[in-house]
Amino acid sequence: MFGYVKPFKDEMKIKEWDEFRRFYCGICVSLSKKNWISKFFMTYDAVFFSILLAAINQEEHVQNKKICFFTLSKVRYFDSKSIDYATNSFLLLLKYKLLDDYADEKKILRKFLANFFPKKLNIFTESFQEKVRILLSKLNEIEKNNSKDLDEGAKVFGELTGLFFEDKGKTEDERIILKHLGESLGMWVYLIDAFDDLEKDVKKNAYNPFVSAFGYGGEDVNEFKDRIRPMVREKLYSLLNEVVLSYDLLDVIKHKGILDNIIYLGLFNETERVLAGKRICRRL
Amino acid sequence: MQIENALAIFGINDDVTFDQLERRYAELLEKYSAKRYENSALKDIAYKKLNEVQKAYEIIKSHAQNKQDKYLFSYHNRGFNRYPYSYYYRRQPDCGCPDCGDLCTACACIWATDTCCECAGGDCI
Repeated sequence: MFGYVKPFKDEMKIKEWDEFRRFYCGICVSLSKKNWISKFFMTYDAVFFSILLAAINQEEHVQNKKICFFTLSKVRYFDSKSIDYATNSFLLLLKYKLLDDYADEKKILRKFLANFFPKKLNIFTESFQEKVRILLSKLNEIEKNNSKDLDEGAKVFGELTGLFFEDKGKTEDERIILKHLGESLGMWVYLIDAFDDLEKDVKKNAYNPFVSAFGYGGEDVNEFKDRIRPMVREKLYSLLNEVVLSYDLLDVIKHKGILDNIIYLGLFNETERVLAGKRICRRL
Repeated sequence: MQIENALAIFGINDDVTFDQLERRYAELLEKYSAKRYENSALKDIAYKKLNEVQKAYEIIKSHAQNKQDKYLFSYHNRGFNRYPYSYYYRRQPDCGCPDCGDLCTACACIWATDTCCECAGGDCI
């Protein structure tokens, strides 16, 4: 839900880039069919998820054309089951996140936006939705309690992503691999997002796992970042290693170029960017 | 295991050389090696994959027709000599085929074809 899982464009082939754009537009179109407002919350993570599902299920896509009002040009987009599933899981997470934020900070706008979401996301069973709700409230509690453990929040968030990944495996082995992949990727996303938002959180006095785990004592934020950077780098790379190991065991034939690019180059590139504290200077 | 499945595990088609097969095998062995997955929770699955790769390698080896030949079991053994694209696009005068001599012959051929065509009432150029 944060937009850190994206390809490294410089190393991509043009045909892979075109395919990626079609997935991206497919997600956007699929979102706007279900709920127009959620379009503005869209991230690259959902795109990666849909490509991974399409690669595992070896799906054939239907390609359509449409005039896009944001870019004012004709776009080609894919339409398939995996894109639909990725959209639905994204919406489910977004809805509960908005409601959670409302309960937390009493922002009326969040509640207002959440009202627009479809009441039932049919493809998920009630027990699955219940699991998601429990995990999100657990996460909320950890943030409220100001937990000193670095891994505690990350693990819960990893479990959450693992839940969505695991659901789509065909064989038993594949489910285990996908779950492991989802868990480590979720932990990585949670921690990298926390490091990226460190300054903001210190200013707002909000919860951040690094602040409580490494004992931030009112010094300059940049000094604090310099101090913890080696530990954070080690942690992030150990999680990325798990991601790569589990991805290597998957049988990916279709869209291999894009997925390889994201897993082997995009994630490492993003880690280095966030650790160096650089902002994104151009649109992907 | 069928030979097609074995080739699919290696991710190669049946038109590769022995060298390429060996290189790919070494790559896969390293990819699924026990040392890499030492501390991982996916150790068992990696071990399964490694066994699969080794089995596939044996099958491909046993199916390869002539071990002395450079190619595994390619079109070269089926009497179809496919040459690389570069030959196709840049044929040399001494390539051995009677059709493409030099530029002069080619021009003459085109002229003759055009004349024939026009005689018949058409217009090809």
